[in-house]
Amino acid sequence: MQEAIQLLFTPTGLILILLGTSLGVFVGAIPGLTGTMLIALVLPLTYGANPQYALTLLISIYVGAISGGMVTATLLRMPGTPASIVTTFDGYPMAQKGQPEKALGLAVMASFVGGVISWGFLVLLAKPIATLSTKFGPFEYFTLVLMALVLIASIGGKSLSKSLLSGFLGILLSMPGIAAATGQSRLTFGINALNDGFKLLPVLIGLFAINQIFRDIIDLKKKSQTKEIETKGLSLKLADFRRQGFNMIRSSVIGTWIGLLPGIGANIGSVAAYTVAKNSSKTPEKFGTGHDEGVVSAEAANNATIGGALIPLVAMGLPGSVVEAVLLGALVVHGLQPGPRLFGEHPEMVYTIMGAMFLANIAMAMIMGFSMRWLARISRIPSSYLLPVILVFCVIGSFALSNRIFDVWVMLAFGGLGFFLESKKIPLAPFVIGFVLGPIAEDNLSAGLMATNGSWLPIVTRPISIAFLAVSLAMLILPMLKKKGPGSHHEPLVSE
Amino acid sequence: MSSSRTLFSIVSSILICGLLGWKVLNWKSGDGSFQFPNQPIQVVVPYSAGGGTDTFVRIIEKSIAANEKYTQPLVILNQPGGGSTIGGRYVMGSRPDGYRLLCNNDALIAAQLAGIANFGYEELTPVAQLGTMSLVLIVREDSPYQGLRSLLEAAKDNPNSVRFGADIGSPAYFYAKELEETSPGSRFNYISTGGGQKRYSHILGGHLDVGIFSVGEFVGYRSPEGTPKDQNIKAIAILTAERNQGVPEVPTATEQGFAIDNGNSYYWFAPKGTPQVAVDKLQEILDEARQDPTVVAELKKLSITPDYRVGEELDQYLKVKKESLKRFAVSPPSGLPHFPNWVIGIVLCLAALVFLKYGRNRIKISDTDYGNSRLAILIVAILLTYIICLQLGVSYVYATIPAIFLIGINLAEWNKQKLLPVAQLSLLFSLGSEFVFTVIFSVPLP
Repeated sequence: MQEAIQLLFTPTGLILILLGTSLGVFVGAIPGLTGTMLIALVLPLTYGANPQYALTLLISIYVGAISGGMVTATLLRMPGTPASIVTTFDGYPMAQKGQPEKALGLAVMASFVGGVISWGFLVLLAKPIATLSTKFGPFEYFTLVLMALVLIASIGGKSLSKSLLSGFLGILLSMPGIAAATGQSRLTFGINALNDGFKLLPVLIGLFAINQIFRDIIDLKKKSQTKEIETKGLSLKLADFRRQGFNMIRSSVIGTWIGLLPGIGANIGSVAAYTVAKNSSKTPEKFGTGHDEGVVSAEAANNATIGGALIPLVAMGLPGSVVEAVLLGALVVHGLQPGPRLFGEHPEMVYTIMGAMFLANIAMAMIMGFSMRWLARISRIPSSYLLPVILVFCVIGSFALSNRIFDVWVMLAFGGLGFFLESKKIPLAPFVIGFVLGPIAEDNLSAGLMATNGSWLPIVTRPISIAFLAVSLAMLILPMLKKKGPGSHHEPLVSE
Repeated sequence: MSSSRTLFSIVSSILICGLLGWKVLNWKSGDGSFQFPNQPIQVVVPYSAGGGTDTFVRIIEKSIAANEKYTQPLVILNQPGGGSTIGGRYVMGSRPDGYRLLCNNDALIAAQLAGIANFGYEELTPVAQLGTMSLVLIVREDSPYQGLRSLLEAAKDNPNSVRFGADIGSPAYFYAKELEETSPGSRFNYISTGGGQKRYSHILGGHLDVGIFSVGEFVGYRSPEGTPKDQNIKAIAILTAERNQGVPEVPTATEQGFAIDNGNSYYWFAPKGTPQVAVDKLQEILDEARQDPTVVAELKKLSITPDYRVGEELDQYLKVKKESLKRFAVSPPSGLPHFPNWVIGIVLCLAALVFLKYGRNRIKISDTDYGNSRLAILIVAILLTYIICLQLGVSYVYATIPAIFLIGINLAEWNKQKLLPVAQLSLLFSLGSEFVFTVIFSVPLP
């Protein structure tokens, strides 16, 4: 542990944290650019670097990006990242009422507290869960992944059938290449370059970056109708801190637990915490009109999902969200397989991840405090400068993964697919989660079936496995039963 | 505002000049000699960075970089995937000039025999064999199989009851088959679980009975003595003729009455048709590196035997290795459903459902959207041209400058005031990114 702490406090470590967090905040504040995109583009740069430094940089970007979205969400009603959609509900009205400093102050404070509380959970829970996970055999892993897939499909979109379609399409497109269980290649149509299938990074850059850039180009002339507000910085009163204490802790805990569930990201965490805050508030009617409780719950929860989502990633190698999927890729690229062994073999990596997350939260609060006035302006960088540079970065990022142009074509193709799916209002998050979790599910199911010589029985005879299966079935059937129950009004929020 | 813009313009001009100077200097200072090697030698590692083969190559690479006799470094290219076939095929199709090599292990032979690769080492020029990993059989410490004999007897008495962790078609699978052969009638139940880490957790969790690991992996995974027996692993046999100095307590398979001497070797290959002069020089470089005391020490740490074979001896070694593995048939696992068909079926059903539910509400494109769609299509066209240029081998900077300029200026709708800044940006970014990537991060560009 000492080694990790010493490394983080070297000048390089601190600079990387500051750099990563500022980059994250910066990109998070620009509507249309997301943390996922930035991490996917930065990852190739870290190939040659020390893995501890690489992870420090990537985690800092992650923390910064989730927080950065609040600036434009509050001032311009444009959520910089999907994670801050809920922040627009109360942050923007509060800014409109002439209190932008207060709104941003509350948001920064809540983000910081949310990050730190979820960090505490990460530190406490990661090791026990990692130890527990060796008890998980192939069937348990299979049903756990199944549950994650159903979970994201049932919560993550407007229509269950569209989400499921997206998820299974993701699984299908993860299949070409050499099947782990049989060692035979399949669905490659004789194309040798496809022997390794489609790689995660070009797929993600295509789905999110390329798709979003062309969406931005098409919307170029649609100027936003909202009034821009200048801010002098942020203000924070001790009274606010005390008054919001309970709300902050509750929202952080909700965010952490939602982050912990595989497949669900920051936006759903903030929706859930916002809804709970509203339902248990004495003044629910004030929500949506610039109420401080609303800002606090949304921002505490979206930052808390980071620590929550890192738990299954570090302990079991299961990514909790799209960004985590990229982080998983980063660990693997650096030769580290997350899971119980990571604690025994590379404890310094685990402590680096934890330490970086904590320091990045402090850096985030500082950067927000000092540069708020300037941050509010960056959404005005002309797209004629920004977009061409990002496009070239997309090409380099896809290429650098394996040094082949084939991956660049894959990126373009998935950009087209992402554009098409979103145009048909089919959410992309289930697609990515299916793409990442599909092979894990298949490999484990295959290993299980090979061990039992083809018998499926253990799925229902092993207690943990049947519990996961029951939860998945319940989540699949419940939404069908209650169709348009209460709470359905906030479903469209979830876009990523 | 305008003063800050002028300042920005001046700063970027200075930076562009600096970068141009760097480029020109770099272009002039190429090593003019005709002796091989006069440019960096790329080594393709067909696995991810940080894996066993990658770690091994990086040890050799460091030694060559530190050797003042050789001015040209090794540059490592990781091309993971496809059971090492992606990287292998890349080298196979490269120019046979000795500047691009492949470093792989027995997986290359195993992949061909298992039908994963439709090419073998015969399609490459073997340069050298350098380094062999010794292998051990691992069980959980409280396992009923405390020796090779009890393990193989169980596999004989109850065929398919012993769960053996080996990916089908991997070198480990073939070694396990060899083990089966020493005790006729025994059959393991092979289970593909993925890499060493996953095999390790499956063994600890009791989901696998036994697995093959390299000695280096075993030493890394083993917990200190005193760990409860159900939370630690144990090596029951080492598959070499003699005991290993790193793990002297592990008995050999031969001692236990099963004659097996095997190991997973590393090989260096060049494309077919590489001139003998270059092959000789590469052998000289590798031979020198393996005798470097730091390399010897590092390899010892990883329990890699620094054996070395070239020329006739190497050809013979490869041939024997392939023949010895060839006699084992690779049988795909039975009882697995055809997953792709299931998933295709589900996708089609869901697509039909979604189409029936939502197919009628088509999204209308309004007139204003149409104009911008044309801009988007234009930019897609520029992007496509850019990528095609890169594919055809146009150098990165010359392709990127016009690409950025054209995309930027089209987005600015050919606004005259933006001509200069966009041009500056395209120069600054193209040269700057080349500098940052090649000099600072040493990431190869298209």
